[in-house]
Amino acid sequence: MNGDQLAPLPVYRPEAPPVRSGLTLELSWLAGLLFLAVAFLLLLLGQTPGWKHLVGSVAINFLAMVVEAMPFMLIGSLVGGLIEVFVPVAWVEGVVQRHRFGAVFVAGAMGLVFPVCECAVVPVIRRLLGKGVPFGAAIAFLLGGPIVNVLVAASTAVAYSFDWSVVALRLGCGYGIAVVIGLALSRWFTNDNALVREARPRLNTCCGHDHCGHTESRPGLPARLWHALGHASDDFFSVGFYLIIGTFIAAFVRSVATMDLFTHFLAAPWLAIVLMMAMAVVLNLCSEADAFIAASFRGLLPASAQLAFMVLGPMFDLKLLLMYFGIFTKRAIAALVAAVLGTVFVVMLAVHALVPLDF
Amino acid sequence: MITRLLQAGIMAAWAVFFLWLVAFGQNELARLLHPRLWWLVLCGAFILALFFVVVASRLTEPHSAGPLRWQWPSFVILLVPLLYFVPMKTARFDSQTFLSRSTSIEAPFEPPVGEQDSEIVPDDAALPSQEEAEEDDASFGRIALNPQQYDGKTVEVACQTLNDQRLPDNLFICYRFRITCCAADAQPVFLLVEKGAAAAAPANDSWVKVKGPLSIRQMEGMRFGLIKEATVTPGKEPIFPFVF
Repeated sequence: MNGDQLAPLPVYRPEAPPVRSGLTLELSWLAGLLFLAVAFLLLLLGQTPGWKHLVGSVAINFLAMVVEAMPFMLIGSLVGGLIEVFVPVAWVEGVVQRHRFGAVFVAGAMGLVFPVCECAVVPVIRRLLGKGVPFGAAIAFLLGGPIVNVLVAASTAVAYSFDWSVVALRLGCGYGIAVVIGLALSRWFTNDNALVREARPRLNTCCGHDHCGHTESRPGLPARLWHALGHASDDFFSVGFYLIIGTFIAAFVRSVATMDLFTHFLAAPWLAIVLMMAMAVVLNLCSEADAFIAASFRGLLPASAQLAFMVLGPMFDLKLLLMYFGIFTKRAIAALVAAVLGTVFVVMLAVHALVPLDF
Repeated sequence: MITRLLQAGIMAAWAVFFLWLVAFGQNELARLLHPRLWWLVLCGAFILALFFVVVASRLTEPHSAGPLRWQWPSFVILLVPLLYFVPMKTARFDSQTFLSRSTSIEAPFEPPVGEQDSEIVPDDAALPSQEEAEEDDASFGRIALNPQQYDGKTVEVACQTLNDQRLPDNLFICYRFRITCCAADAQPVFLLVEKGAAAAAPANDSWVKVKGPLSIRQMEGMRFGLIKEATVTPGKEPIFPFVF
């Protein structure tokens, strides 16, 4: 099939109810119920004087994160839907799969031409993987895209008073780590053993989604756009509730954890790095904003610890962990998380030991 | 059919909420998101409206979302943030938030820096005039973050108050929160205020207007702005409580 030919849109073929995103249906249901119980209980406790302040703080942080992140996720879903309909599998196979090794290096820097934040990148990756983009390249884009982009470079520059060494280190470490992990994981994982069934490349032309039965065999542009919107709205439900749970947990932690809690454990540089990494995971900050938080630790923490916060945050946090369940198997998630945490830690120790930093 | 209806309902609820925030709920939106990102909310409402139309047009078509008995928790979860809007409307970041988001300085308060220390020549060409500084509420962030540039000038700022026991009795903290993207990344910025000997300390977290000449104080090697001989009057919470 040539890329410039219109691919016939699929005939509807109902699929069995999906296994929910890497978790079993029962486990997903139980986790959902548990979350709802906690969320409603906290809401009720907020009516009592003793809990009012905490619940108010959680509510502000929770709403702020959701109102900021959800539009990005919707934009990501929309882009993912357009990719699903307008990017032919044959084109992906022809261009990307012939250069599997090189694709990882290119994907790690794709954020420079396609700036995405960590909330938007997940639905995009889901669709790219469905199109057959190799696992390693997808991981490199997933990890590198939210760091190696112009917006993050600009916010980092502003936060650190245009100290370009900080910008270069942040983007350089982000790119290097994304590529290394992409290459390493692609040795053990492929799209066949790393992805949940809904995210795998489809050999038939049916997308398996609800709207397939209502498209013409050779549709025009409006029908294809309509089709893309159908995919995108499905993604909203596939990824959205993970985003809500992740931001709720992050808002709770943001409300109860004090800055002093972290700064009281700064006896050694490696400990400072670990603590700032922990903070990056639990605070779930936007990659545009985290440089300003990191910069507030200047003079208190080693530069390597500030850098660890800025590099890890866009790659991995609580809400991302939950959103990964919409794409990857549990085994792949475990490997990805271990690789990200381990590599960031080792790289930051190396930076601390080898690079003279004074920010 | 029911699953489709629920999906359409959730999208409609979110689209209406986002539209309401931008059109009528700006006081609430100002306490959540930086104004330069408000377009995102409008964009989100537009995309959700599109999704709603797509889902609503297919109410009777089959779906692959699985049985509703397994799916309903995920649908309710998507509505949880809307429920939390109720406590959010009356909640405020306050002195407890200030303290939890600050790093403590344990050392005792140091005396004012000497004339030599505070004699920083301001770059007048790059500075707003005194009138501008007084009128521009957003200048709080600039003054608090770069107090040296305003040394010796009379400033007027709107802020919340915190009486910190670690400070001398005649001083209180005048604080606000600075955001980059949203309230979750809010960081405290503050000035110290020296009230008149006879003046009573304002209650914690109350909004006040403070006017007086700015000088520099030093604690643990860090410099903070101090408004001396300040005139403190009660104030109202501004529409944009955050500084940028």
